[in-house]
Amino acid sequence: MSEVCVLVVDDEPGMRETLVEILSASGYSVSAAADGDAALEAVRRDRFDVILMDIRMPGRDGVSVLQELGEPPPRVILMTAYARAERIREAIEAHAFAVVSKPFPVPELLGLVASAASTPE
Amino acid sequence: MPEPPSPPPAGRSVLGRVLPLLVPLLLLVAAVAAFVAALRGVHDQEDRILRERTSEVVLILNNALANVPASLRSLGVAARLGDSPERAFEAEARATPSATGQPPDVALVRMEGGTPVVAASLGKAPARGTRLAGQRAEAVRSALSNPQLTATTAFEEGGQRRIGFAIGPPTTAKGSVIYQETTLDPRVSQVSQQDAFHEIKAVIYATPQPRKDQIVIATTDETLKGDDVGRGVVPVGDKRWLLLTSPREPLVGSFATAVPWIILGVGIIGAALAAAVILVLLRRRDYALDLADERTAELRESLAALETAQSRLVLQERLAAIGQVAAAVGHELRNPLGVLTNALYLVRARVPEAEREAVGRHLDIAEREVAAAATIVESLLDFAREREPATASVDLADLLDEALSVAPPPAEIHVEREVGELPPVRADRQQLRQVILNLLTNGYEAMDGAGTLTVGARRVDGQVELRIADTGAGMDDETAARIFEPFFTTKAKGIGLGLPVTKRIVEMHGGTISAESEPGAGTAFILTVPVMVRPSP
Repeated sequence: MSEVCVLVVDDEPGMRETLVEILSASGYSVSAAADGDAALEAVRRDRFDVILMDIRMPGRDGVSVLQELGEPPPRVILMTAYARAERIREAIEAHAFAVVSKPFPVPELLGLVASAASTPE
Repeated sequence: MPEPPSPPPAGRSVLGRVLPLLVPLLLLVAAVAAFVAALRGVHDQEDRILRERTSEVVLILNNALANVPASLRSLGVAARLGDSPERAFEAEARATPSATGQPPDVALVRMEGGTPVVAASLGKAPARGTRLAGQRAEAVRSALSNPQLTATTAFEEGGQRRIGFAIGPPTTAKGSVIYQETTLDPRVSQVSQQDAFHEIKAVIYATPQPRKDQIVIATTDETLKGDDVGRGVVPVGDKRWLLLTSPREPLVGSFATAVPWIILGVGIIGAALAAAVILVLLRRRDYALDLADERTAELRESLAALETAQSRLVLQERLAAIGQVAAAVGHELRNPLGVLTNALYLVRARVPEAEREAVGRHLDIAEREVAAAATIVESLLDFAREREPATASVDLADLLDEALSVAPPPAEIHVEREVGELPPVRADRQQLRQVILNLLTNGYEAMDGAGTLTVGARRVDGQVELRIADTGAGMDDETAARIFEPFFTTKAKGIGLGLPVTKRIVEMHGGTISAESEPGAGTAFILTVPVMVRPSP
C-alpha cells in the first residue's frame, strides 16, 4: 500500500503546524498550504488523497477551492470556526467528505482522515 | 405599565352636587324672607288701620253719649227751678222727645229714708212711688255722691235687657236724681255697604270686660277675640264701656293681602327655574369634563402602550447587539481552542514514558478546561443563532424520556416523573430537546448533588404545560425577576445564557415560560407549548 498524501490548508499558522505534526506522526505524508490559491497550485502539482481545509480564509475560501478542484474530486474535509449555514450547505453540495467544526477532538479527526483515505474514489 | 386612572377632581363633584341645591335654596330663602316681611308689613298696616277705625268709633260714641248727660241735665235743672219739681220735670221731659218720637223713659227719684223712691215718671220708666232696688238703686245712690253721669250695667227687667243712666246734684236739687232707662236691642244690628264702618265688625259692652249679657250694640254675633281685634274704651260717666272691633274684610284691600303670596310664588318659580338652568349647565360641563377625562385616559393608554413597545424594542436591540458580540467572540475563540486542543494532543504524545503519569494529570486538567471553554463558546453561539423553529408534531413524553437518558440525574438525585396522557405538541424537536436538557441540568445543578426533581406534564386547554421543579436552594424575588436576562448568573460556572436561550426558543414556539421560587423550598419552571392541531379531514 502506497503512502497516503494529505494536504493541510489553513491560514492560521498554529492550526496548520499542529495538524501537520499530528498527521505526520500518524504516518501520513503531509503537505501544507496557507491559502486557497496555494492549495490549488499544490493540487495541480501533486496528487493528494485527502485535503483538510479551513473554510474561512483570506482570498479564496475553502468552499470555492473545493468547487474548483474538478474531476476526479479528492476527499475534502472542511473545517469551520464560523462559516454561515448556507456556505456549509454549498460545501456539502460540492461533495465535501465532511464538515467539522473547531475545536474538534483530535482522535475524531484522525478517524475521519483514515476513513476518507480508505474510501475508494 | 399603564398608570392607574387618576381619581376625578374632588371639586367637580362637590360643586356639581351643591350648586344646583344651593342657588335655588338661597333664592327660596330670599323669597320666604320677602314673603314674611311683606306679610308683616301688610299685617302692621291692617293693624294700624283697625286701630284708627276703632279710635274713630270711640270718638263717635263719645260724642253720642255726651248727649245723654246734656238731656238729663236739662230735666234736672227744670225740676230744681220749677215751683213743683214733679210738674216741671214732666213738662220738660215731654218736650224732649227721643229718637223714636216718644217721650224718653225717665224718672225723678228722691231719697226717702235711705231708699230711692220715684217721685215722677214718663214712658217705661218705673212708675211713681216705686221704691228702686238693685242696679237702679245703686246708680241713684252713686249719682247723689257723684257730680258726673252714672250708668248701670245691663240688666234684665220684664223680659227686656235694659240699661240706666242717672245724674244727681249739683245738676238736680239736693237729694233728687234724674234717672233714664233704655231697652237694649238683643239682635245684631244689620250693616249695609253704605254705612260708615261697614268694613269692621264691632261689639260694645257696658263693662270694661267682654261679657255676653252686657252687649250694648253688636254688628256681629261672633265673639271677637285674638290678636287682630281692635280695642277701645269709651268712658260713660263713671263707667267704662268696652269696644271690640275686627275687620270684616282686609282693610288694606285684597291686592295688598295677596302681595306676600305673589312674592312667595314668584320666588319659588324663580328658584325652580334657577335649579333647572344650573342643572342643565352643570350637566353640559360634566359631559365636557368626562369627555376630556376619557381622551386623557386614552392618551395615557396609548402612551403606556408606546412605552411598552419602546422598551421591548430596546430590549430586542440590546439582545441583538449581545448576539452579535456573542457570535464574534465565539467564532474568534474557536480557532485558538482548536489549536490548543491539537497542541495538547501533541504534548501528550511526546511526553516520555517516565514523565507520563506526572504530566498526564496536568494535561487532563488542561484538556478539561479547553472543553469547558468550548462549551461556553457553543452556548454563546446558540444564543446568537436565530433559527426559526421547523415545527412538526412532537411526542413530548417521548422527548422527555430521551432527554432524561441523555442527561441522567446524578447519583443522589431522584427524578419523579408525573406525565399523563398528552396530545402531540407543535414544536421543533431539536430545539425543544435543548430546552428540556437546559431545564433538567439547571435543576440538577440547583440541588447541589442531592434532592428530588419532579417532572410533570399535563394538558391545559390548547397547551401542554411542562413543570420541572427542584428541591434546591430556591431564589429570592429579585433573583427570580432577572434569571431570563442574558449574562445574569448566580452560578460559579456558566455565563448566564442557558435560560435566555430557553426562553427565546419557547417564545418562538408560541409558548410561555415562567419560574416560581421560594428561598429554601426550591424552584419550579413552568413552560407551555401549543398542542399540534391536526387539520380537519
